[in-house]
Amino acid sequence: MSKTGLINHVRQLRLYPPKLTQQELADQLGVTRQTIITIENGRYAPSLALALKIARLMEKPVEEIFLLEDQVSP
Amino acid sequence: MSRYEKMSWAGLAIIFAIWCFASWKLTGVMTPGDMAWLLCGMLVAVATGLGAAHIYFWSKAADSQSDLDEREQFIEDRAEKYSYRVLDGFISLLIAAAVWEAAYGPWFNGSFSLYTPTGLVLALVSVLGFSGLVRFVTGIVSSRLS
Repeated sequence: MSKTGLINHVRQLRLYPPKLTQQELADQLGVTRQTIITIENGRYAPSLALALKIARLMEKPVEEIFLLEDQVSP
Repeated sequence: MSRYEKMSWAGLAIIFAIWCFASWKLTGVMTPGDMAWLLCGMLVAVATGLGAAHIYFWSKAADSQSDLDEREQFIEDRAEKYSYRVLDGFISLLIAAAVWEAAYGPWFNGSFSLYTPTGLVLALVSVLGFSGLVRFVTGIVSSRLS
C-alpha cells in the first residue's frame, strides 16, 4: 500500500516514447527532480495543480494517471 | 542532496553555532576543556554555516535558482509547525520552571537560576535554539525520507 493512498502511472508514461528523464520532466513542470522521484515512488501526492500539469504534459486525463488504491483491482 | 536540504543544514549549523556561543559566553561553570570543545564546535559550525550560505544564498548561481517547489514547501510548512509546537511547549515549561523556582527558593537551579540574568538569557536562547534546531532537523529528515 502506498503512503499517499494513490497509485500513479507517471513513470510508465514518462518512459513511453518520447522518453523523458526525471530531470527533463521536472524542468518542464517547474519542480525539482526529487519531487518527481517521490511522486513516482508513491511517497508524495502532488497538488491538484501539479497533477493537472502532469496530465496536460502527458496528454492523458488526470484520472488515467492518478488512481485511488481502492480503484485498482487486486 | 537538494538545495533545500543544503539550506536546512546551513540553518542547523548557524543555530547550533549561536547556541554554542551563547552557552560559552553565558555560563561560568564550565571547565576549560568544556569551553575548548564548545569553541571548536562553534568554529566548525560557523565555518560550515557561512560556507554554505556563501555558496547557496549569496552567490549569483543561487539568484537564478527557483524558489522551493511544492513538495519542499510542504516539508517546510511541516517543519515550521513542529518548531512552533516545540516553542509552545518550552515556553510553558519555562513558566512552570519559574513558578517552581519562585516557590522553592531563588537558587533552586543553581547558577542556571531563572532569576539571574545569565540563567534567564541562557534559558531563552536555548528555547529559541532548540526550536530552530527542530525546524531544520525536521526539514532535513523529511527531505531525506520523502
